[in-house]
Amino acid sequence: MKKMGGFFAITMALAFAVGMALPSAATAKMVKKVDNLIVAVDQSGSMSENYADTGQKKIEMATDMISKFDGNVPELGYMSGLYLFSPFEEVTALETYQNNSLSSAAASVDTGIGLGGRYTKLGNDLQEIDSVLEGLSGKTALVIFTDGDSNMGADAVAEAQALYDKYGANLCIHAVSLADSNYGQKVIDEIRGLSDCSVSADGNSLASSAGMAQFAQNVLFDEVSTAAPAPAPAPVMKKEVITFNLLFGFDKADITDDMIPVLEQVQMILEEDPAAKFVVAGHTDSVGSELYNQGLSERRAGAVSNWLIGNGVPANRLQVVGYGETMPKFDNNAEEGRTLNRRVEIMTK
Amino acid sequence: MKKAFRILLFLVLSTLLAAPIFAGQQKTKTSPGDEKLVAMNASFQQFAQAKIKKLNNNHQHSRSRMQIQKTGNGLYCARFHEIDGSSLKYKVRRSKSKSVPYVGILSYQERVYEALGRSPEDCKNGKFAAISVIPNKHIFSFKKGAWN
Repeated sequence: MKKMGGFFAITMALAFAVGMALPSAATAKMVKKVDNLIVAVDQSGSMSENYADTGQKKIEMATDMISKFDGNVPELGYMSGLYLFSPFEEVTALETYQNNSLSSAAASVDTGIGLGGRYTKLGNDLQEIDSVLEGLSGKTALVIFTDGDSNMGADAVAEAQALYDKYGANLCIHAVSLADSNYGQKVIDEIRGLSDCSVSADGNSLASSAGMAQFAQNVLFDEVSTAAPAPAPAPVMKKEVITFNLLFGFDKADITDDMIPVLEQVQMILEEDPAAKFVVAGHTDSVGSELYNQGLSERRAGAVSNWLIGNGVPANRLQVVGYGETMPKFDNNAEEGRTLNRRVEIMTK
Repeated sequence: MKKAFRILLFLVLSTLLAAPIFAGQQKTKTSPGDEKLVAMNASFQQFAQAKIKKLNNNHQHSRSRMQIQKTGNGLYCARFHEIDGSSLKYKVRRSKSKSVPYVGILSYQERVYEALGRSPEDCKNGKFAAISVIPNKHIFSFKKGAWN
């Protein structure tokens, strides 16, 4: 009995030690990028044709893709709805997105459409969808499954631009291409090119489950790690700067008796570290020409350096630089800023 | 004799023991020069605190005039400079000059803060962290009754 108790205690201790040693798994949290998800399916006559050599109608592919897309949409409170283009119809009214809602709606779409009489009026459809977008608040992702064969009515690219002009960063149009003509692909590419936010996809890229999952994430949400953030790195400590304004006279670089107390303090500070080397830098404000200010700053920095050397600071410890008005630290648009810019700085090398 | 010696010893010891008590009761005199230096310290601190506000407000990349740059990875970086108010140190020294009798040295840390974001607005409203610290010594002179 005692032996069993001891064995149990050792086992528990080992399990605890292993558990503590294993790194805890970082979990990711989905953060939505948009507030609204509007999905539109092109039901024009050309969508009744087969997509490439798949043997499947484009409209059937579109509804299949919507079902798979639905499986990758998280319930983050999007307002969503499904619409048909060419002609424009509402399939499901706007409601808070729930899993499978888009699949169910897509399943109700008539995929037995014929070719005759159903022209693609993509531009007119974009005008119609505006009435839906107007009622939404926040950011909207408009995902259109289309072959781009816009052959009647308003110009599709111009109407897409008009929507961007109206909604700005609150709208992003993602065209999923089922194009099988150069013209259709061109219309789709031009719509995508109207905004950097647009995510490209087509029958090939969405064929795999990984591709579809990535598309859904790119359109709808970010994954944010919930692991404890790494501590911010300590700020970098820069070299010391000694600043003083000797109140030189206008256009003057002479060292006067009134300046000596300040220069004596500078000397004392430089002597605190006898091994250090310094740059003596003259600065001006932006009044006057650049050339004039450059010369003035050099003369003043030189005067300071000469005084320090004449009072015991070794010359090889000092480098003289005039920056003129080229390195303002303060705002030259204000008198106070200009006063502060008129300065000499000594920086440790 | 023995009695006189004991009395004398008692007096000496009493004096020695009482001396510190008497000494402590004497007021310490402050020289007028020290009082003046204390007053100058106080006035320099007041001047320096107003100066710090001017330095912060007028910096060309102050909090109200953040520098926004696009980074190599497509994000935006907002940056501003600000003096750490808790780092201020003041020192006033007498000088031999009659026209500039005092100099003041103000030491402080100037901090550079950065935040990243997907857009210029995002980074300006982002979480800022200090990325560097610049130690500063700023020297002023007291002339004609005012700090410069």
